[in-house]
Amino acid sequence: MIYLLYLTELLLYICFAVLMGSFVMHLVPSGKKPSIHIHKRWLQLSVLGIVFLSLMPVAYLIYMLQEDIGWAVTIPNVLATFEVGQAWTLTLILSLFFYTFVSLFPVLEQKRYAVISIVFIVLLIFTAGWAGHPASLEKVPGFFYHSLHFLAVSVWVGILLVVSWLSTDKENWLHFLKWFTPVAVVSFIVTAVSGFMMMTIITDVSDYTNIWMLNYGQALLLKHIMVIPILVFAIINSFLVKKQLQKDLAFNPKPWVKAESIVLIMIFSVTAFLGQQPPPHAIQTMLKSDGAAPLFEYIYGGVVEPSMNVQFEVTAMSVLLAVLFISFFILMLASFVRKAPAVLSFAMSFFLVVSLYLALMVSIQ
Amino acid sequence: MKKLLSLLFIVYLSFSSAVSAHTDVKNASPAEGETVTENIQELQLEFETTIENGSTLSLLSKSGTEVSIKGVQLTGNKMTALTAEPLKNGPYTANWRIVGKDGHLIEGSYSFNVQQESGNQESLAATGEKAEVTDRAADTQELVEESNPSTAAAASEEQSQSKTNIVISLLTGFMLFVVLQTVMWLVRRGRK
Repeated sequence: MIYLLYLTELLLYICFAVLMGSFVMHLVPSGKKPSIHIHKRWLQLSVLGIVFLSLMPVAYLIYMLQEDIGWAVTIPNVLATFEVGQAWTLTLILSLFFYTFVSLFPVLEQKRYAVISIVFIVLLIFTAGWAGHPASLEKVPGFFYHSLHFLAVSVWVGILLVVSWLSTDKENWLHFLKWFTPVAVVSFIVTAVSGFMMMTIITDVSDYTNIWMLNYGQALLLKHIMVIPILVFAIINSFLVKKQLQKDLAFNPKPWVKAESIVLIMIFSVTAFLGQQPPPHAIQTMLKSDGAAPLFEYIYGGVVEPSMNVQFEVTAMSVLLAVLFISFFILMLASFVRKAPAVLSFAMSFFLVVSLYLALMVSIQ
Repeated sequence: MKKLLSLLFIVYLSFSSAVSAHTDVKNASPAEGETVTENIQELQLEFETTIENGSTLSLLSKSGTEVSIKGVQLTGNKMTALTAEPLKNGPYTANWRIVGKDGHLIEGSYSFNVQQESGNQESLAATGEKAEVTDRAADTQELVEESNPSTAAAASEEQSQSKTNIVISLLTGFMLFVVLQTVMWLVRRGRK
């Protein structure tokens, strides 16, 4: 049951990104983007997706609680008094209006309708941020950083998803890069800073390596490592592709943005898992009651005591893995330079993540 | 021998964790492991997060029978439970199940003891002495618990020497192979 939640959360993030990307791209003059084909039906489905997918964690909670109190009491109780329940009720109301709006108005023809649609999406994002982990710990800053994080990611990844999977040609790619590169850089900085601020709310930064012992920390570590291939793809997709296109207009940049978008969706999956883990504010007690993360225990190979501190020691193995990490980093770039297919670079990015992750984990004393 | 030691440690852990599982409980009255010598009818738990409606608590006596609870009150991050009757002597286990503000369900339990003087009639001095005795008893218990982790540390140290995982080694070897193959392929591709 809980595994299903990881999938529905991932799909929820994609729905948000697709909606945001579609409407933002619609605001861009047609000379500055490739041709994009979006069915209205997809937008409607994404709105419905938001309603049902965001219901899933609430439904799971109701299901867990009804054992004690019964369905009749639990359902209205959760929906009306729990913050996650209230947030979903608000999501439902907003989405109903949004769905009607998308269905009745020519949202993909006139720019002002696209602007109104974006306002709807932003309100839905605020609703999600209001009921999230960070906001439950520190109301106002938690809400602010979470919403900002979500917003920046949906704009950046949304545009990338729409351009790489829903575009019908590769016209105007250089014009597109000219405005998208700064947008992506700003979004990335906002995402990173707000993400860091959320981390300071959830846990002490000095405990960063200690939370690796918990599932939450493992997910966070993987997420942070996966940012590295994203940066490499960003270099390829902005500067290197630009150079290549200036030399040779026949070059097809789409496989490369597709590869980047797949890595981003993988980060979404890790985030979906992360969001369902209890946030680590009391590491020792959590280790005592829930035990260490299975993956951490497996790689560490010893007994994880609650009082343990994660410390590092350079070993032959960790040096070898670090060298592998650097090699995969260079090979990712080299694949592009040597005009190899994008899938090779994608495979290299996968191994890059594995090698850096293992390099860090293996060197834990 | 090493294996036996670590096995013993695991057994120790699995038995002790049931007692000390108290995720997110900041304060409890009676506290974990405390021996209460007074009339008691009220349990108070303070959590690290604000708790939502639907959070529950059940109290089990030594024999595993549930003690009837008159009501559970939730205010902010505090949970107060009133039992129907004053608790009789003996060990108790409180099982709690709370919903945090972010909608996460957290479960846990802790134990305490009730050891009332039979008549409460004895002189104050006697009570004081008795309390001291329990204090000392608690101290020795702590000592025992403190001495245990050191054996545990020894056990894990011994284990860590042989911890290089075969799967990780194979994976590393495979990645080395991938790097060499890719480099060769890219170099050859460049020559064409």
